[in-house]
Amino acid sequence: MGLTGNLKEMAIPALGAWIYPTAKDWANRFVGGMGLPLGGVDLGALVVAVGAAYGMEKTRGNTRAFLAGLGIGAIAQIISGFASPSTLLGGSRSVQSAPTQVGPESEAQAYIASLG
Amino acid sequence: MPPVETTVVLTATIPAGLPANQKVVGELQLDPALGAQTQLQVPQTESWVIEDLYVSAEQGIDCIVELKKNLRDTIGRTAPINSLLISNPSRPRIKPVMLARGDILTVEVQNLTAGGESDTDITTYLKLVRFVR
Repeated sequence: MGLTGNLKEMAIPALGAWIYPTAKDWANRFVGGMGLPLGGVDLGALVVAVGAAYGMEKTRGNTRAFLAGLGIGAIAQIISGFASPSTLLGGSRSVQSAPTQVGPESEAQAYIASLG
Repeated sequence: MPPVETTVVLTATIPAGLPANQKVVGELQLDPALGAQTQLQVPQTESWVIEDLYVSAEQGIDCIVELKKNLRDTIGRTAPINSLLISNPSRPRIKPVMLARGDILTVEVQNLTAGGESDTDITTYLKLVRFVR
């Protein structure tokens, strides 16, 4: 197999992995919760992993390679979810990463208000 | 981290013979090591409040200083700077303004009288309070 073939073999799974975050967001919308934690695992990631595994069973060739990349992305996130310290402490990754309102901007606004 | 109070030196040069009420771009020096710059950008981890603008001595040409955000929005305008002597506790104050992370601060200085026979340097000071994440 030539260089072009090797690049293609790598590119298609890479495309799947690249698409993964979007697929996960759609999966989360489908199941009705953004980043719903399930013992530290993003539910969307779980849906994508199961879907990719099921799809790989049914397909061949480029589609299968694409789904493999997608599945690897999902599995990597699931593993990182299990491995995160917040999970070990019983917390939720989604909650921990939520944006917070306390920051330099709000401090600055409070300061201006205090000047009267 | 507690807020950090910083003094920014604002300088401008009114060219000789410049008619009255023209605007020149001022230079801001946040830190002597950085030198004077025509723009200051708020770091991504900070927010700034400009609380006061004053002069330490009467300037050769009286001017008005205009503070601009992101190169277009005027966020503050002073009284004539010669009324802003730091020794005058009842001097007129600017309305405090906030600059969020990533905002760009520039200043324009408007001379109220025509430039003299030689260039005139103007120096004013901004009291800046930095909120650091």
